[in-house]
Order: sequence, then C-alpha cells, then structure tokens
Amino acid sequence: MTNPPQSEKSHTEKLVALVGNPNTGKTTLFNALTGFRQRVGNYPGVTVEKKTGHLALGESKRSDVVIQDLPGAYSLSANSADEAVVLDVLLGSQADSRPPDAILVVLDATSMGRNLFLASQVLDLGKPVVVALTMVDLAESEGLDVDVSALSRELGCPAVPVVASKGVGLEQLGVAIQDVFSKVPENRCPSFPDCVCAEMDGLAKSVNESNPALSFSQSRTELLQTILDPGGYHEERLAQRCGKGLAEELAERRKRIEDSGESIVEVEARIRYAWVDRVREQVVSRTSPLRQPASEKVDRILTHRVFGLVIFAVMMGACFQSIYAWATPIMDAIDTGIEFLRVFVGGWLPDGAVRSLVVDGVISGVGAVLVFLPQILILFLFLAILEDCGYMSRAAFLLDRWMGMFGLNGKSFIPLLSSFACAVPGILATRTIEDRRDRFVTILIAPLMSCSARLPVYILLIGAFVPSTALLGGLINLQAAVLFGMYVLGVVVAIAMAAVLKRTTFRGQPRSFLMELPTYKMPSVKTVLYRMYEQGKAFCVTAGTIIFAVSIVIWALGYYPRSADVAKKYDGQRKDIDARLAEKFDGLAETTSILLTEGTIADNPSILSVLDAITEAETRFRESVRDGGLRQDSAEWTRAKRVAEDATQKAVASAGQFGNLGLQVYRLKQQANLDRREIDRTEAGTYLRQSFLGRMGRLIEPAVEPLGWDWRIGMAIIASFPAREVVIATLGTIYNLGADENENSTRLREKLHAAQWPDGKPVFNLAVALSIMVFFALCCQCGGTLAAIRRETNSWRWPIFTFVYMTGLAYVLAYATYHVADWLA
Amino acid sequence: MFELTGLQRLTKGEAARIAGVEGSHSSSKRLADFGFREGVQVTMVRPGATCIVRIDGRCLGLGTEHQASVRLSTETC
Repeated sequence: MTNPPQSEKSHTEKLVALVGNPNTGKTTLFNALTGFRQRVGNYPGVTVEKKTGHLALGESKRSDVVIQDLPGAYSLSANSADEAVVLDVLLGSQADSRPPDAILVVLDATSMGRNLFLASQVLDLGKPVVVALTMVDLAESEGLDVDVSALSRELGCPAVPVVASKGVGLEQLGVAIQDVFSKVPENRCPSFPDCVCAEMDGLAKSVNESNPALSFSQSRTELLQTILDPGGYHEERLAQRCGKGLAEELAERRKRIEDSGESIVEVEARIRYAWVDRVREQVVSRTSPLRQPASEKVDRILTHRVFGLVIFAVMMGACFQSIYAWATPIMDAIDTGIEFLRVFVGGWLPDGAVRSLVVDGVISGVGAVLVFLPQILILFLFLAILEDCGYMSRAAFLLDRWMGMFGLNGKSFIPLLSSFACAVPGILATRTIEDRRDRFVTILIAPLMSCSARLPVYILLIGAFVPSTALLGGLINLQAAVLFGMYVLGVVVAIAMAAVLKRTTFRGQPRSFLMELPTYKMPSVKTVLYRMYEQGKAFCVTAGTIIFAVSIVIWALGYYPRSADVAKKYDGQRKDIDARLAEKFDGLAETTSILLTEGTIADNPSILSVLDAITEAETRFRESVRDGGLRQDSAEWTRAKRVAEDATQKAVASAGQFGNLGLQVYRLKQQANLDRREIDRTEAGTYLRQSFLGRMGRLIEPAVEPLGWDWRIGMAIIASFPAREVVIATLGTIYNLGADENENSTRLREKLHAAQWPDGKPVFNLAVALSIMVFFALCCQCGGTLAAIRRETNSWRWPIFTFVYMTGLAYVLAYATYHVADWLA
Repeated sequence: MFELTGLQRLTKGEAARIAGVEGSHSSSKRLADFGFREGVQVTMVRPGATCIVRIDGRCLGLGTEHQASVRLSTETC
C-alpha cells in the first residue's frame, strides 16, 4: 500500500489518470492495479476525493507510474461538480495535481455505446491513452463478444481485457501502461465538419494571440466544448482566464456554424455517436439473444410505487433503530475509557492550569466527539451496504416525485440522508447533482437534518424534563415521541426552506431526474469495511481537530482570568474542613473507652480495615447501580442498597470493639469529602462566573431571557457554536459540576432540576427544555459544516447565509416554543 | 415516416427506436451523454412520472421533462 506525495514533483514519476463512466468497475481496477484498497460504490459519483497509488507490477515491484483515480463521468462537458473535477485533472488545471502523462480509460464491455462516447472525448485530448476493457466475463454471459484487437485498431491505442476482481489481464495492462509513454499518440478520433474545425482552429489562434501567457492547451475536446456548449463549464473556465470579449467571439463563431447548416446542439452527439456506432459494429457482436437482466426482476418490487416505498421506509426505520440500539453499549465503553483517561492523566499531572487544560479541555472535549464514533460507523455500515449493492439510486428514483413537491429532485435525497449522521459528508455528496441551483439548495438545507451530534442534547433534556408516559395504549412512549418530533422538525423546516429558496434566490424548476440504476450485486465485505474505516478516520481527524481547537479556546475563556482572592477564600474553607475533622477525631478519641495501642483514630490499622470493608460495600453498591442502570427507589435499587447495608453491618460486627468507632470515623470522613467536593464545585462556579465566558454569558442574558434561558444556558449555547457536541461538557462545568458530565449523568440532570433564578423560580422546566431542543435542532452550530459549505460553494456568502438563516429560525421558533409550551403548562 | 412521441407513450415492456432528442441545450446534451441518440432502441421498464428505461444494456431513471424530450420512431422493435 503506497501513497505518493500530494504534489508529484518528481519528473521520473509518470502520472496516469483513470477515467471512465460510473459503475464500470473503475475503482475495483484502481485497487487491483495499485494494491491500494479504497471505497467502491455503485452509486454514481461515490469517488470524490483525489486517490492515487503506485502501479504495482508482479509480487512486490513498485513502479514509477502513479495512477490517479477520478470520479465517474459520463462526458467531459462537465455537467456536475464531479465531472468538473475530472476535466480539471485531465487538463492539468486542478489544484495540487499536475497534468497527467497518459490516460487510462475504462470501457464496460456490456455497455460499449455510452462508454465509447466518453472515450472519444478523451482520445480528442491528444494524450497517450490505454483502454482497459472491464466486465468482459459479464458481457460473455449476456451473449456479447468483444474483439479486443479490433477495438485497439479502431481507437489507435492499446486495449487490454481485464477481470480486475480475479486479477485477469492486470499484468498485460501494466505493461501496456508502461509502454505508452514512449510512443507518439495515434489516437483515432471522430472527424467533425469543416465549419466546426475552422472555428476550433480560429478560437485556438485568437485565444493564444490575445493571451500568450495563457498557453491554451488547444485540445480538440476543450475547443469543441467551449464552442458547442453555450454557457457551459468550458466557456466559463476560459472566460475567467480571457476576460471580456470571449462571449461576443463565441457567439459569432456559433452563428457561423449554424449558418453553415449545422446545429450547435446536435452536432457533437451526432458525429461522436456515428463514430461510436461504427466502432461498435467493428468490435462487438451478439452471440445469443438479449434476455431480461435479473436486476430488472428485483426492481419489479424494489422500485414499485407502493411496495418499494414501504420497503424503503422499513429499511430506514431499521437503520435508525440499529444506530441507537447497537451504538449504546459501545458508546458506554468509550465513555468509560475516556473517564479512565481523565482520572489517570488527572492524577498524574500536578494541580493547576496545565491539568485543567489537558483534562477538562482536551480530553473532555475530544472525548465528547469520540463517543459518537459508533453511531457514525453504524450509519456508514448501512449506507455502504446500500450503496455497494446498488440500492441507493433506486431510493433516489422512488423519492424523486416526493422531492419534486418542494422543488428538488430525487438526487438530493442521498445527501440529505447522509446528513442524519453528519452534514459534512452530506454536503460533499451533493457533487453529483448537476443543476447548480438544486445542488446549492440541498447544501443549504442539509445542516437542518438532525445529525448525531444533536442526539446527546435531546437525550439529556428529554430524560430530565419529559415524563415517560405511554401513548397510544403503550405503543409508543412520550419521550420517544418527542425525540422523533425533533427529527421531524428538522425535516419539515428543511422542506419549507427548500420551497422558499426555490421560489426566491434559486428560482426555477428542478432539473429533471436522470440517473443510472446500476446492476445489483452482493456488497463486498472488504469494500464496506474499508468505507467504514475511511469515514471513521475522517470523522476522528476532521471533527477531532476542530473539537480539539474549540476545546482549548473554550477552556481558556472559561478558565481565565483566575483571581487569587477566589483561591484564597476556598483554600481557607478547605483548611477549615480539615481542622473541623481533626477536632471531631479528637472529640471521638476522648469520648471512646477503647484504648488505641497503635496510631491515632485516623490511622489505626483496625479502624482502617473497618473503613476499607465499608468502602468496598459502598463501591459494590455504586457499581451495581451503574452497571444495571438501576433507578433510585426501584426494587432492584432497594435490594442492592440492602446488600450494601448488610455488608457494612457485618464488617462492623466482625470488627468487635472497633466496629462502631470505624463506622463513625467513616461517616465523618465521608461528610468531610462531600463538603470538600461542594467547595470544589462552588469554587469552579465562581471562577466560571468571573471568567471571560461568564462575562459574555451575562452580556447576552437579555437576548436569551425571552427564550426562557438564564445566563448559564446562554453561555453553554455560545460555547457550542463552533461545535454543538461541546454543550454537554459546558453545561456540566457551568452547573458547578466540572466538565466531566455526559448525557447519562443523573447528577447533571438533578443539577438542572435544582437550578434557580435569583427569585427562587426553577430555571428548567418542560418549556425551557423544549425551547433549548428546538434551538439545537435548527441552529447551525458546527464549524465543520460551515467550512464544507464554503469549500463546496466557493464563496463565504453561503456559509454566512446558512448561519444567519438557521440561527434566526432557531431563535424565533425556540421563542415560540417556549411561550406556547409555557402557556399550555 | 416519423411521429413525434415522447417516452411517456411507451407501456411497460414496450420498446421503440429513438428518432431524436430535443428540449433545452443542457438537457439534450445530458441525454446524449447517457446514450440517447437517433436510431438507438429504448425499452420501458417501469412507466411513470419518473420512469425506468433500458438503453444500451443499462437501466436509467428518467424524469418527466427528459421523457418528453425523447422523440420516438413509430417503427416497432
């Protein structure tokens, strides 16, 4: 497994771009040629990142040829963002990628017509080309015979049949690739009418004369597309470099072509397909009659208007149910691991700012994100299976009609589905949507889908403030219904927003649906696991780095300034506790009739062994409550409590005269510990109130009061703007508990219940909890999402717009929710 | 003799040859990218507002506008 450097500066290395239609086995071939495993998807356009690997020949030979995998493309006219990437790489204008020295074109033997269309455009680029003919075995089984030597002769370049999954033909293909650099390309391309050729020559000449610095590549594909695709990507690209005058020149050239009796719209398709048909005639012959493919039989049910939708709904239901059901035990395990790390590192570092930064800032912050990894992995397990077997495009097909009702087409569905895990991959997945307006609307509404980072907030607040009442005769629980309601809220607002955007800024009919429904296949275990690994890694790295930075900033704002007076005050209180404990021990020593032969009352071995026995009983009780998830005063809880009390009594009884004394010492020490902890909490709270974050919280209190929130909730919200995951940790800190609370913390729940306004009224009630949840459901609190929107729209305008509209909506609807719920209550 | 008919006219399982592709420039260009061109056989797999057709050995999902853009020949296949 090898990865070349991003900027292939070495001149000894040859770069080969891998191009082909989606679903032609292109990525499987890339993996086989490079030995570099990566995601293989049936859904068109799954490969979006730049993937490179050294061509591996034989057992362990690593060549100087670097292969670069590209997204699947149907044409080089760059109709979608994905196809634009392909074109930019092939023309050498893609950032961090030099022009390829040769192009490896994948042709699917079962679908030669459409594949040859793209191949003809690639041949027109004038670069050395090698053709890999895939799906040869499938073509044979479908009764198609492909004459490879005729194909090579007709295209003027080497062609090699391969079955990548079985390693057939790879050696020959590798040799053909290595040989191609030394030969002058003899690509045989379709001939265009003289009037078109004259305009191509004229354009190349005029561009190079007026912009000599541009060194316009003059490939036939580029010239043709610029002239024949008015307003298309090629014209836009050249206009950016040439400036004014190009539009007028192109209009004149197009007019001259039309005047010669050729149609701008049809000429390319007509000429290329005439060439394709001629080549196909020479190369492909049918040996047995066409049969109905098995995929179509499966599609009779899966794409059925009624059954198809029902099956889809059941699959989605099962998917979300599994995310929550399967993820919980793993999440708990990660939580325990993080807690262990906190205690371990916290015990090892000296008390002070560094420990606070590492433990409260970094470990808690980054840990808060890592907890969501199981959910992300499970969601991507489902998505990878659905994609790899070819189902995703069927789902997009089924939902096209429904998406059309609010101005989008079925292609927007897949990015929106991905956004339930995380909006960032969802936004990246919009690259396959051809229409710019549809793509932008999908990007702008994707963050409204309730992502996995919102879940902990829902769980904390629903658990604390929504009663667990059975509804519909016990069919559903009110808590589950509210949770589901939060997801529905995001979807409903997204639909409304899409409808508004499609009637205003992005006015226009949705682009008519056009999508390939690839042949179904068994999902590959390796592919699915690799996809999970890849996404899990990306999640940890990207989210982890953002959270890491945010955690440090929030920690610093919440930690500084540190007043020495505060430390002095609470240190004094701690000393008082120690002094009082010592006094109580003295009093106990005086009143007891027991003569201590060894040590004092605080360190007598007999008393210490009683303390150990009681502590052990208490620890066992706490563990059984935690492990069994026992609710206070439940039958199991009472039973466990009784066991602990019996063990304590037994320890006291068996210690003879030291028993009762040990028990009293234990209680005094326990009380002192509780007092010390209370002082720690109050001290942390005082520091926080005086910190920069605390001051900001008080500053924004007038703005959040109408939503029913106090300054502490406001602060937690400020802290969670860069990444909403941090809110639980921030709430924990704010309510004087330290930043180690997670959403299952009963103490945090209790503390939220106990929080009061200055007039003694409780801060939290159902209305406040609902208002916070509605705010979280709609607000754009994710730096990663905004960065992805900036990258994908290439403008700051849209992330700013998304932030403003989502935050505005969140505020207004949280306000309405609070007042309606308050009035109803 | 050609008659102007869109793909919507095809019933389930029915096949026809394409007589041409019309509509907006970008739409017809995209259809051409996917293999819709004169003389090619297209089979209706699932009719509807968004339909499934088989062309060039592969199945494609097609929205209403694209269906209307494809002119069919009256020749039977």
